[in-house]
Amino acid sequence: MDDLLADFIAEAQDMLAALAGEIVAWEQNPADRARMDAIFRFFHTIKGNCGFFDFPQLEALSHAAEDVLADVRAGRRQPDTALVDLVLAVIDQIADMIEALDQNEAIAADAGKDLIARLKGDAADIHEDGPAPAANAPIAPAGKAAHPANAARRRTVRLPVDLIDQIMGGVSDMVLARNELGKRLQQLGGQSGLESAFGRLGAALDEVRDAITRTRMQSIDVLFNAYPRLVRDLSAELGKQVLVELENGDVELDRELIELIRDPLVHVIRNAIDHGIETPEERRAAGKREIGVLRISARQTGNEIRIAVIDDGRGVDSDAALARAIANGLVTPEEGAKMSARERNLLVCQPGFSTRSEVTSVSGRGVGMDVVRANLEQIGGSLSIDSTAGAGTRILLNVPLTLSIVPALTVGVGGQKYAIPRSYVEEVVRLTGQAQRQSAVGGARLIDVRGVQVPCALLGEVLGVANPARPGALVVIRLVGGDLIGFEVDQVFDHEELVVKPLSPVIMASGFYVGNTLMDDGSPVLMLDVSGLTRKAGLIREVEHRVNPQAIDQNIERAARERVPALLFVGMDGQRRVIPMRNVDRIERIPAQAVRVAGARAQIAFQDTILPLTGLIPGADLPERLNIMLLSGSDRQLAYAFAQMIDTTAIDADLRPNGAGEEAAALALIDDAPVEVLDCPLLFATAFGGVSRGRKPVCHLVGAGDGGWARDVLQPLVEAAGYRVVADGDVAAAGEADIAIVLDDAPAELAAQSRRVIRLRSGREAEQDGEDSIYRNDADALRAALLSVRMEQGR
Amino acid sequence: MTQLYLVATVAGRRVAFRTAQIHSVIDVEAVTPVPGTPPCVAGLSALRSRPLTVIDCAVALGQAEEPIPPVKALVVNQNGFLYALSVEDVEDVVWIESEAEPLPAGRHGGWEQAALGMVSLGGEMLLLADPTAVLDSIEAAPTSRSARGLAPAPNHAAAQ
Repeated sequence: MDDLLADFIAEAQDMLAALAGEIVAWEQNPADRARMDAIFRFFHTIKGNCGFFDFPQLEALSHAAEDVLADVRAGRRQPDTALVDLVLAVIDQIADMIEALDQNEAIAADAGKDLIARLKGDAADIHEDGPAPAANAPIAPAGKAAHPANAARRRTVRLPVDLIDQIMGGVSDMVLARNELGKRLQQLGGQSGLESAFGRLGAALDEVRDAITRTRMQSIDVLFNAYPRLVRDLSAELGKQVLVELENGDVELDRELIELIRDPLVHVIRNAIDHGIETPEERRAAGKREIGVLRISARQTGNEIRIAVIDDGRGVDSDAALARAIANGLVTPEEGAKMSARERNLLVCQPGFSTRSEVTSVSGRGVGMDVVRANLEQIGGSLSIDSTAGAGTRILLNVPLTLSIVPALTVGVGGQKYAIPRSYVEEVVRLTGQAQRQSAVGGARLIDVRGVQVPCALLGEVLGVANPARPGALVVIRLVGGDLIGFEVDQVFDHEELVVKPLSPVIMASGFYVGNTLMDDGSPVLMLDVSGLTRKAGLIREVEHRVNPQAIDQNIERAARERVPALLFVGMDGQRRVIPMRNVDRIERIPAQAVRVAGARAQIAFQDTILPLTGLIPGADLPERLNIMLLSGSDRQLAYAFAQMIDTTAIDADLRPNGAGEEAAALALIDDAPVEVLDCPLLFATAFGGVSRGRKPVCHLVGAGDGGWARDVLQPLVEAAGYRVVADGDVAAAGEADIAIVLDDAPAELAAQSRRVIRLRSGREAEQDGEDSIYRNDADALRAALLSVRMEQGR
Repeated sequence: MTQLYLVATVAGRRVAFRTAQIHSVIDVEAVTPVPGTPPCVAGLSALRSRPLTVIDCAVALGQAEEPIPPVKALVVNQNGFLYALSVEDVEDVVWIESEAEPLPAGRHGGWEQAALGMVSLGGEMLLLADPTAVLDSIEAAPTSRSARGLAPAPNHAAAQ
């Protein structure tokens, strides 16, 4: 808080100094609108900043002065000499109050009361021309009781940015010279006698460099830390309930920028709470939660910092905004008709605009948004307002990146070092030998990263420099939309905190870079613009593709080629087998005494229950301790014995049965060798006395025809679940089917021969709820149904 | 009015620059290539601790195809960014009394975009070049090396 107060005082003093010229000019020409706007903004800012502190006198005084000037702006009052004098007296009084605060003194309780009374009195009787009694009369001396909390306040000075830049540049130059000198000393083989002195110099220099960097850079938390309090106070004052969520994105900003966006952000937050979020009653009536949510986040994207203030309030009524702007003469109806919703929203940033006739002490009359836009444009930033009526507003402040510290990953490509902002990097995968599976699909290349297919590109190729034939690492990037992509690089060097400086427009035009940084040896390293490169490499899927509902269906169909994690192990018979991880509950070692073998069947006692045990070789001796996997079915467990665990791996999610085999449902290709996939449904069915060995249950595909989806996709899936598939023609010969699957529009009568009928529907939503209707692309639900039929038979 | 001019060699010709437009003359040491930029961008270097975009003057003026390794360069401050215009040689700084004259009629093959006119030095007429105009012409040019670098990718799955 002490820092905040120091900032507040320093800022107010700066503004007072800057205002001195405006005051004189306004005195000479009270009709000068621009001067008056500047003074009005001063009062508004002082009033706004008081929201952080407990200075009721200062707040009341600036509010009263603001009211008077608002009347003048609205044409309800004329700015005559008496009024100008009065306003100047208020400015003087505010200057005295600020001075008192700076001296650690409290503001007198009645300070400014007479001025407020006169401001209000004048407003009531505009034509009273009595001489202003002692407009510049000495203010009641401020109380001398020192504020105890401020006793230890840190002293601060304000410096021109140029000076700090000069120091920073000088220190960087010294670091480079130090490094050069260090290299020379090393060449002398440590015999120069200067080593220890040089070491001290180097250490001191590092400290100075850190300190000077801290003078320039500040975490955005300096701003964000104050917001919970601000939001709480404001919402209490306005009788609203607001929950604030902050996300700082580890952004560090130039102090200069932090100062410049401090006020705009406060104004935006005030507006969001005052105008955006409704009262609890209104929210209840609108069917929303009573507590409004205000999300404030900062993130570095490309070459700018994007600060978003999002509320879930009533939103900006862009039509009402336009109507009001037309009524106030800000735009003509013809101009208004051509404006987009965004442009209409931005009308609230026009000076003198307000969509609310009622004035509150919190956000005033839209002048805040005016200041916000002016401040942002002054630093080359921009503002946009997106709003949905009734659902909320998103205000984006885009602040250009001038100088910032960005945590980065340095990588090597084509013999050169580049930096990638760490916030984008999901993981780094070393590309060693055959470990990574790749596939080329059309023009795209996919690399398998633990079962996830990541679209990839050689970074060197995207940049237009040579990559070696075999890149050393894959940098997996998570894009803002959540998509994963990968860039292959020659090598990965290090994680570093880099001071990023802007690049010349000639280089920025390439769209590949966001900035550059100098390494300790003085060589420049370019920081890559991840989103720009992704676009250039064509790795971003089209947006409409992403929201297309058909794409979801395609994904489900693609699940047939998806890979799932699996365990590779050696069975009791010495054969390697693999089992999908999802079937395994846990792995245990049990003593042989817990096993009871009776003929072909065995059980184990495990944690107070008796479970069927499979996987043993009939007649073979049991080891002293037995490794078992606990497998889970729909509602039962069984144990499977094995000799040795080898590794985790990944197999295709939907492997087809390959030839005959009692327990092997399918074969997976692992390290170029075929490995049996344990058929869990069959294990369960046998263990619980279900299917008699040698007879597979029969599934009748009704209306399957001779080819197409039913034959190519459905039939393998049913067979993988351990069924024998019969078509319409063979059903008579097969006798009663255990289950019938009726496709879409095939007549259900054909399935009369079956014990159970499942209908596949083509729509995602069931027309009638019922478990015997399954969406045709929901492979998991279908497998579960097939398994449950086998389990039922087991009972 | 007498003015100070700097005489340098660009694409084999002697060219004059107004010294007021030149920040300094440097020996360019290490240059970091910057892929994706126009061919005239030789790369990135640093002047003390400030980034320096190195531009091959001859390529920027359309007098050469590919940049040569930069040796000598004129540092120019354009809108707060430092650029180094690399030239083949820097001769001298001279006082020239006469005013700049317009270029003679004829085709100048790219030189005209950066020419402020010509000045007379010891009887020889030198082209008077404007570094700002050289840089502006690059920013305006849309062509970029990346377009060539991004030819359809061969199948790298096979290469691995």
